Amino acid sequence: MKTKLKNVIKNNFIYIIMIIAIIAGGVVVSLKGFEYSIENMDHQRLEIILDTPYNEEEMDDIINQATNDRYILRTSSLFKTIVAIDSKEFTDEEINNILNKINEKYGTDYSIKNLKLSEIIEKYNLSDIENMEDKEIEDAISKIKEEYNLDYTKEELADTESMKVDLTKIKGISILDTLKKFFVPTVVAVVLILLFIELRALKFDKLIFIKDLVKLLITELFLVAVVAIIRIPLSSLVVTTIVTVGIAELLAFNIQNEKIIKRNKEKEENE
Amino acid sequence: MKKDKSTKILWMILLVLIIVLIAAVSFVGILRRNLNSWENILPDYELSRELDKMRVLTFSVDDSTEPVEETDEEVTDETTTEVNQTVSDDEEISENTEDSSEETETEEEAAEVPVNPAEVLTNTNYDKVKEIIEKRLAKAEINDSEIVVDYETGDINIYVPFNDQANTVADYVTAAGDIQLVDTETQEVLISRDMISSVQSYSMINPDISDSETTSGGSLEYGLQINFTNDGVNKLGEISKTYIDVIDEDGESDPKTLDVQLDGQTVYTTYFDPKGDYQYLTIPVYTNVSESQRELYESSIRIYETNINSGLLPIKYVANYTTYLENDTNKLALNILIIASIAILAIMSIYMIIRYKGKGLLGVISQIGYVALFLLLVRFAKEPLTLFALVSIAVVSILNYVFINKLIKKDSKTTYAQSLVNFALKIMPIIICAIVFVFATSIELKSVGVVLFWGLLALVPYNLIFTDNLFNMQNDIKKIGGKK
Repeated sequence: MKTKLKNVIKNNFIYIIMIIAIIAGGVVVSLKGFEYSIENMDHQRLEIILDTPYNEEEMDDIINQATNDRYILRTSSLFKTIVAIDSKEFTDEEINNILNKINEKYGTDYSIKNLKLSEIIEKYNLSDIENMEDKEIEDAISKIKEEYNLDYTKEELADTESMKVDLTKIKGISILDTLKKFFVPTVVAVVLILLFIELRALKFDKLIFIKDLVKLLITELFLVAVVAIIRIPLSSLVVTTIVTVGIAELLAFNIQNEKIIKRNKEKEENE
Repeated sequence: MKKDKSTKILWMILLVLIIVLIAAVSFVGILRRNLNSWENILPDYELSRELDKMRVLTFSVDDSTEPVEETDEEVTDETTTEVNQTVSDDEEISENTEDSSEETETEEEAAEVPVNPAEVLTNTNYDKVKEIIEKRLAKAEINDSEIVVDYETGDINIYVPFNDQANTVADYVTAAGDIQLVDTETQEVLISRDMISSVQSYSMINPDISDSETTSGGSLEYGLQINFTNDGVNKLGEISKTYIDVIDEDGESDPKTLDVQLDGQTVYTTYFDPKGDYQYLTIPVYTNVSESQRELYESSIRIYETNINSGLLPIKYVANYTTYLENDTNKLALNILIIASIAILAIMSIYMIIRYKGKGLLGVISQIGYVALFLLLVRFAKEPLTLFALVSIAVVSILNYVFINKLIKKDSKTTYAQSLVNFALKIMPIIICAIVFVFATSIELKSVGVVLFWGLLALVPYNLIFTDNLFNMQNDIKKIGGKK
């Protein structure tokens, strides 16, 4: 009895490890959920207008040095003069780092003051600053200093041309939408493949459909658990990878099955 | 014998030259002089929006107001005044109506209601809007789009590839997709949208326009055929007996007409022949269209058709702004992927030459030709390529490499068909995926499906014509050499 159990464990060792990982993944998901890619969660976009076109590799280096967070580098002008950096959330320090490095490289003179200008003008009704009284402006400047810890002059507040840095909130693409679009074609493909394997193996293994399906489900759930445990950001790319691994596994099952069929055929011929 | 050998060698050279030609066409292109530069006349590879340029169109919930629609008979507006004047000959009533009309005009100016009342701005309706827009974009073949709804504000962001089709997206979002038949005078709804099952666009050359008019204006007509539900057909039967031509006391024609309204705009006014048996209605929307305007009106009528057939938007949206975006991060990843794929194929090719010598070299030449042909097919397939579709190109190329290996190793008794069947049985999961994914709605899966499908389809005849023949000829040459 003991030896039988040992054999079962030995033969299915890898699946046992996978099941343990799945349980661990389930715990992680219930406690912390999944980590999502920037595109698949609500994030921020920092847009900086440059006077000259930039080189994407150089810009990637600059952003890489200035921030520790994940980011997506984008261009938001046809002539590559506006760079857009998507990240989960930018801290003032990160923005300062990015702007300083861009100033160094491209000779601009941007600071966090440029970024906050539009927000401040809207908040303190400073759009008509030229026609405001000095007292009102001074009051606004001191309030700005108090709240934002930033020193503005009247000229700086009036210079709306300097609003060349912008930070906006971007709504994430729902990963559920991707999963919904994947569901039907993937299930149809998997069922057809398993039916093919079953039909080919009908003579020697009638339960191969169920066996392969269980193995496939364990592998897929294991991959999902790995994604959850090691906090790989969930994206359509990850979903496609998981589907691809599943299909590769089915391909392996099929090749193995065809080998058995060939062997059996040769055996029959020899007999 | 010597002649035989020479013929075989010549055939081999010919096949290799054809492969070189395919490779040159695929990798370099077919160039044509265009002003001061050379232009490749082959279609470009289409990359998905995440690997290429894209546009993000932002739409907001319409927060404007509109005058209250008065349905109560007691409250008058200009239309009801006219009706009352027609139905009554009593001057006093008519005067009273005019007075009350003046009084209510000022009230009407003040009585405004939101275009989108608060009760329609629900998550269920936002989901419905998203579903309907998805349907519309799919019908309009605006593929590779992604719709993101902000459930707090109702704003919609639509990500689409940067091409001409992006310009039409707003037409599918800002139009409600409503259609109804109303009484021309009273504006009473005779047949509402729920009695209309579908519409079908048509185009025709108007036979009533003479040749001389054709040259000045145009004889093309674009319209819609309205199909009704059973209730709609019954109602149409009813109204076709009342909305007819009437001859007044002076013997002049004074028909009772109805309007066909698309999104509140009257596009056609008509009446019926009382003897007619109407199952559907054909309404011309654009008439006297000239050849130069054809594209514009053709597109417009298709937009009406798509919008109406996809369902009525429960919330009215307005176009807000458009953003241009290009993903630099993915472009950098793409470069790495291309370099890695070329490196892998190069290593595999070197291995094949070292292992199989002469046959290996022929195999590599054949493999290069296959990749070239496959890439040509990918260009012509015009399916936007995602990162995974590019990986699939590498996968199919590797499958072809494996198949060439099998052909190198096959003995003289095994036919090409047998080798192919054995190979196909082994890679059946990939064949099934190729066929199923071609029909997927997800751009990621569809792109992979299209690439796999064309790759596998090209593999069969290509290897029969080139690879197998090259190997057979080489075997024959060896045999002839051996006998000698």
